Amino acid sequence: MAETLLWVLPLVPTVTALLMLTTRKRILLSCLDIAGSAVLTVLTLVLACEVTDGGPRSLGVFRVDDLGLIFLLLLAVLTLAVSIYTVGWLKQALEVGNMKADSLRSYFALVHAFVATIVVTILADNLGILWIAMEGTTITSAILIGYHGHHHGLEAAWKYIIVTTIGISFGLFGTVIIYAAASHVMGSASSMSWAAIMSVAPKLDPGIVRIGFIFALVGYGTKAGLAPMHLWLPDAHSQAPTPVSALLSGVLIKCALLAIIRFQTIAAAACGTEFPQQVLLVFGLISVVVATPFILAQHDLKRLLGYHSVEHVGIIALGLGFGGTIGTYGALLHVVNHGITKALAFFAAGTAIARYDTRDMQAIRGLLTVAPIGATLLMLAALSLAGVPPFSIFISELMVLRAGIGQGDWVSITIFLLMVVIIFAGLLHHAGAMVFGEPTAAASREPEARSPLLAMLLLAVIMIVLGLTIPASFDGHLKRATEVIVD
Amino acid sequence: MSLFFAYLSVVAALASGFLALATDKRSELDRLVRLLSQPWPKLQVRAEGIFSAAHYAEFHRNSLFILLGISGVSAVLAGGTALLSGVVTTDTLPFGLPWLNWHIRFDALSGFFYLLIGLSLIAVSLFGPGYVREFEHGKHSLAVLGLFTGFFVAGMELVLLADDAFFFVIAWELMSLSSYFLVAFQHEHASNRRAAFLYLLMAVVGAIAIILAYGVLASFSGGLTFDHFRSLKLTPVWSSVAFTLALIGFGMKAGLVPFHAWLPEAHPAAPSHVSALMSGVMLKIAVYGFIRFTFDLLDEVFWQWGLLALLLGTASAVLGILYAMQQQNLKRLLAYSSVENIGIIFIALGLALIFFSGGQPRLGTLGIVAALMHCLNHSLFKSLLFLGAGAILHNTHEQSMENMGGLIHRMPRLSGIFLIGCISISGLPPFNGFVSEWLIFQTALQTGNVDSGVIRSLIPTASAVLALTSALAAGCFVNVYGVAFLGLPRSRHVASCHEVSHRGMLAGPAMLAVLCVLFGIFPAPVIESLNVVTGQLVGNTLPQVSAMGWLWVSPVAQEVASYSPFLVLVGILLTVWLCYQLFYRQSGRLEARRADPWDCGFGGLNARMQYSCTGFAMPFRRIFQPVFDVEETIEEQKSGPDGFHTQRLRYQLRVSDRSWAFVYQPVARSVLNLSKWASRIQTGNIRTYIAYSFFTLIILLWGIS
Repeated sequence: MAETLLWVLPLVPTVTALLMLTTRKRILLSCLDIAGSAVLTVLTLVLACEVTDGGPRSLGVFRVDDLGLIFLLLLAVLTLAVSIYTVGWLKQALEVGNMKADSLRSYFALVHAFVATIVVTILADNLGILWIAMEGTTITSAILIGYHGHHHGLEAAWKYIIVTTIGISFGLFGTVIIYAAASHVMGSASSMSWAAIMSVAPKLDPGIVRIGFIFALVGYGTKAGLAPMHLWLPDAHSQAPTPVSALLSGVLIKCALLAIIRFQTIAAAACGTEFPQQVLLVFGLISVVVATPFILAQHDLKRLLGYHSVEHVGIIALGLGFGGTIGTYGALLHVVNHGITKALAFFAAGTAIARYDTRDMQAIRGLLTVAPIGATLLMLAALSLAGVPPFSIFISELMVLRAGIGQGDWVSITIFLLMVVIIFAGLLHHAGAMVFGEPTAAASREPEARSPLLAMLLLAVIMIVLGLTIPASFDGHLKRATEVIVD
Repeated sequence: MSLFFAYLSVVAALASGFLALATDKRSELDRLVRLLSQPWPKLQVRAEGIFSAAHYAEFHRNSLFILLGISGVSAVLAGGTALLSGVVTTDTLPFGLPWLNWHIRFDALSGFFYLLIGLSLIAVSLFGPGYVREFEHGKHSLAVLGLFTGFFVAGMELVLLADDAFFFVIAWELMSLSSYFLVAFQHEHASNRRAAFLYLLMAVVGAIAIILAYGVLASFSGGLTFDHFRSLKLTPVWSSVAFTLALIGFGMKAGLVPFHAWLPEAHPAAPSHVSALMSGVMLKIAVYGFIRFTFDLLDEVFWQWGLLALLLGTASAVLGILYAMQQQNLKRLLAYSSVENIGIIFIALGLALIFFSGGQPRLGTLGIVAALMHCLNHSLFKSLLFLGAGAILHNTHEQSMENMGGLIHRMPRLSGIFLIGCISISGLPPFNGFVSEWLIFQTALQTGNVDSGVIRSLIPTASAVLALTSALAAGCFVNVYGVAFLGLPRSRHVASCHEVSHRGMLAGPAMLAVLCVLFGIFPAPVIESLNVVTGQLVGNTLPQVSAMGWLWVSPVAQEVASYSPFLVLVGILLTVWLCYQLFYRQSGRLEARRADPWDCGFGGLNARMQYSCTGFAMPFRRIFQPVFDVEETIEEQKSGPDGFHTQRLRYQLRVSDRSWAFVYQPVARSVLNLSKWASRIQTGNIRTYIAYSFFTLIILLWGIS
């Protein structure tokens, strides 16, 4: 059953994407969209149960373990939320003319193709397939980033393709180096398989693995938005249509992190945990520090959120860098928490932007008066992103912090906390100014659309529940995933 | 039993929040009730009565506060039972992390602060329904106000219940966050938005300091529950680090100088009944956190800590009251006076630390008792004064004292109640403010028992400053009462105002006034009940407090010092009676003569010729010049030959906090400049981007080779 699911899962979004091409009706397309996402979610949940009962499964080049499952769950939830959100968003975008009715089906098809490539990235056991799927995500998402067709979007898409492709070619080189090291030990058979490499990892030549890890880290790190390779990210995430921004920030960069984690485990087994952790720690700190000034001096709402993703990827890297059970658990939890919260933030920002028809935060004022629910959700998302309890991000950040304290790494902790405070100030200053006050004349006073609110509420509920308690089954996945990495 | 009431109180507070949200939707509720009550026509008629538009407003207002009142009563019950029985109860709740559920512990210290919340909360829930009428037709929804007030109260109570660092921080932030929304409630004013932002920012900085303080303990004990921390033995250095972080964190919330900048901005911005809770109660929760951390969780204390707390406390006390004097906005003045009182509390705690480390546990205990008493007293009279200020604001729409005057004729009952608050806060016998300040003086006067000469000389200095503070506080509130309540009204609104019509708006403050008098005249039972708290906290009590009977308080020993407020009251009454007999009886034979005050022959005294509060505070402004950042401008418009005649005179005065210019603005400016400078790395040029990746790779490869 579980083995069947392994090849069915990537097929679901692929088939959905193909079905999209058969019709031009908006309603039908949206129904298909939601149906496809719902099927994906249900199948993911079934797979989660199977893995809980029977442990990791593999089939050919695909393999699923608890580590991948966490990312898969995040993807499924976000895809579903995005589908629900798209219904209302699309209607508004069509009215304003941001989207064109005759090209809708290609948009939907691309989104699902994008999801399909992400699924393959997560499920790939073969490092080569992982790389190919990662390139696949670049191609599909690049078209989506430039989908609105104006020159800013095209420029962002162009930068995105060039920078990430060059970056990820380093990743390919890293993959090849690891393959060489592995085939040296175990012969050429299945030496691209991560699981197979892991079984012989302690015997690999540490010198070569080190170089391979560096290349892979820089390569996939570009895609993950680790500073200083992050510079494409704010442009791309801010120019994409809002639902796509949510997927890019919520899932895609996390998948690149998953790739990094795969290489990290190999490197940790081959040359000790110290080395990859140190490198990740440095990247994490740089990311957190570099994101800070841009968050403070920012006028574009979606760019702000983009830079914020850089910060949070940095925090995940910090968690992995501090290591240990707590740090890794915190990092994985942060993957989920940030994914959910960031998607919520993009959704809320998207509705605000649509209402004021501008992305300039200085022109968005008094949202609470014109759209009370949306404004509340935007505020909640901002507070959660800033790391305030009782929202989920607080817990994972606290765990990362706890891991750092456990390591006694007070320098990193001080820098981290200082940046967290400054970012908090910047983010809440912007959020407060947008939400409170008197609305500007440009604000549309239409009632709030239902479906975006529904999607946002779904995410907000998950965000708050995860902030109050971690359900036992999810905790089980996280614990076993931590064991995969730490072990 | 006590825990049951404690939970009930939290649940009631939360429920009041949700109820506020639900009752906001009148038409939906109406439909729902109609549907449900269909089988019972009688019930339906009743429901229609409630849900008709005319009656619903009042029902809605009351519904916001009924559950809060229940929460207050059960908090008092919980606190009372915990104090009387002295039983410590623990529990765990199935929330939080899988391996760290929320640990609950309810002991006498928590119970005491529960009592403090409860008393103020009852007063607030009496006062509230009348006060929120003014928001009803505004653009702000009462639901938001009710929701966050409920959450705020629940947050404060959960802080008291928390028995692990994780849950403590969550409750702490729930308290901060919900009060942020309350400060931002009237968000159409830019100053309120600014105040709210500043408040939240400083709350988070404080919270991070607290998290780090717990982090230090956690990194050595390996667990996050308070039980782990209690059994921990730390090295003096780490212990001091933890203490300093805790002092910064809790001090920031309590409003210690120099972390107080948010307080005078945020407290006046919130609706008055919330200001009462923030100033009267929330600051005490910070004091609770400090006491819990220092005396309960840390195993050993050092005199250097005491000195630090003493210094900060002294600075807060004197600066707080000096700044309070310079305010024209009544609520701002009250907020600054909270800084002063928190300073006084920290003086007592500093003394307690010094005595404990010097091997004088009994005197240390006296310090803690004095601090706790002042917490209780301050919460009573500060809530009273804020509610009073709210009532004035409600009736006159004036916040500035320069526009008030003559309220004693227009609002006689409120004036009487407010007077009790003013006397109490000035620390005059026989009211409650005097009792706790006297206890603190008693603690300070025992320095002869300390070995170190430096401390022996420093403490009298601190107590001299404390004496000065009390005197200034009295002056400050003479100013408040004289300018706002006596004399002639200075604006049209005030001239035409009248006594508050809503009975609860008087009942709330009146209840607090009665408590102020009661605790002022009979302090011995309260102090004695605190023996349970100190017994559990530091294992020491003050057994001799009522050794001379319940009329007398003798904190140190029978022969050293004792005070009987009741006898003082009797003495005062006797003196008044004697004077009355002597002078009035004699002069009663003469006819009383009423005449206009002398006006130098100009004729027609008007309201503008009265002593203004700016004028009243001028001597202090001059004497303590270096403390203030004063900006004075005088514009004269002259006419006639040689410009001899002054036609118009315009005087502008701006007194601002020095801490702004010295601490906050430089920090903010340098962070912003730094970030602008750093933003240059993003050039927008794709070649640079690729170069960054490339060089990163090269540096890393070089690093491992």
